[in-house]
Amino acid sequence: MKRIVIAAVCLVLAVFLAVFGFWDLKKITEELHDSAERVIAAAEAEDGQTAESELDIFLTKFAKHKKMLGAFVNHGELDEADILVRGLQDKAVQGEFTELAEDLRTLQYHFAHLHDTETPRFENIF
Amino acid sequence: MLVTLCRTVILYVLVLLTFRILGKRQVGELQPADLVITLLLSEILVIPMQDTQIPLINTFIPVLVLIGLEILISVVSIKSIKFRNLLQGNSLIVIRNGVLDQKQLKRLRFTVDDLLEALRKKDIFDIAEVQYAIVETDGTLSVLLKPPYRAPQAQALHAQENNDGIPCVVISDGRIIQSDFKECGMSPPKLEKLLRSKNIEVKNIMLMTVDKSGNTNIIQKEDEK
Repeated sequence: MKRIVIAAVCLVLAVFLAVFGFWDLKKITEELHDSAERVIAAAEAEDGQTAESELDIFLTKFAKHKKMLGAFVNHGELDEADILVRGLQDKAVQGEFTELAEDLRTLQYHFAHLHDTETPRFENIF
Repeated sequence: MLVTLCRTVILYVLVLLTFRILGKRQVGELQPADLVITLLLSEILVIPMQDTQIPLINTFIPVLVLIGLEILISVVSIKSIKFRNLLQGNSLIVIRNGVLDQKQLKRLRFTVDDLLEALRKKDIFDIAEVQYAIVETDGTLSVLLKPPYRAPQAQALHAQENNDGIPCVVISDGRIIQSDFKECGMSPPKLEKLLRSKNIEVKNIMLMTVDKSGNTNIIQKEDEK
């Protein structure tokens, strides 16, 4: 009986970690995607003030979620996103809105990809 | 480097806990399912130990699933004979009354050389001496010799045998081991009295064993003699 309980606990914990990880990853990547979208909109409108304030929000969110993302996705992919994020602030300050929007679009692709590769679809499983 | 060190420590503890949960069977004889689990675990754990790009959670989840499945499979195997046979196969008799069962050998993909080697490892050099040889599900060979070749038992010789039980370790490396006291009819006052009569202190004893009949064997520490 004790062993069945251990087996049940292990399986439930594994399923919980997998489902929680996937759900959290989806939530985080969607949140970052939306936040980046707001910065892009301001950058494309060349509204420097809004772009900077939205970028601050985006950077705060990214810093907050980085730890959780590191626990669930391949660190290499996260490092690529991190390098792009580090350059965003300078571009906003220097008024390079086109480059800023481009980098954020690339980041949006990264976030979508992080979630996409973890989705249990046929092509991902096999 | 420090990340690798931390991950190695975490994964080492994880392996120890896993094998503790899976039990002694995993370390001793390996059934097919046990072998699969052992191989998978070693692969799953080695890769993230060296590749720090892989999140540790990607290791924990498969390890938890494998532990869960292994325990469930062993529980179902205990309950269902059909499932056990499906998973582990059956023991097969390969020698009957000194005659090789070639059909079974072919089925097992055992060569005669393999069989002879396994017999020699059991100190049997002539197939004719064997009454039954059985290949167990874990691949080991069990042999029953024909009556004339079996070692005589005390019962057959009508010999009186003392039932002294297993000698229990009561002192190991200068420390009293009380867990086996009951098994060998020992108690702390009895031990104290015994050591006083031999004029030896506990700290000077490397090993002391006692059997049910009270026979003792004391090995003193070399530098204390």
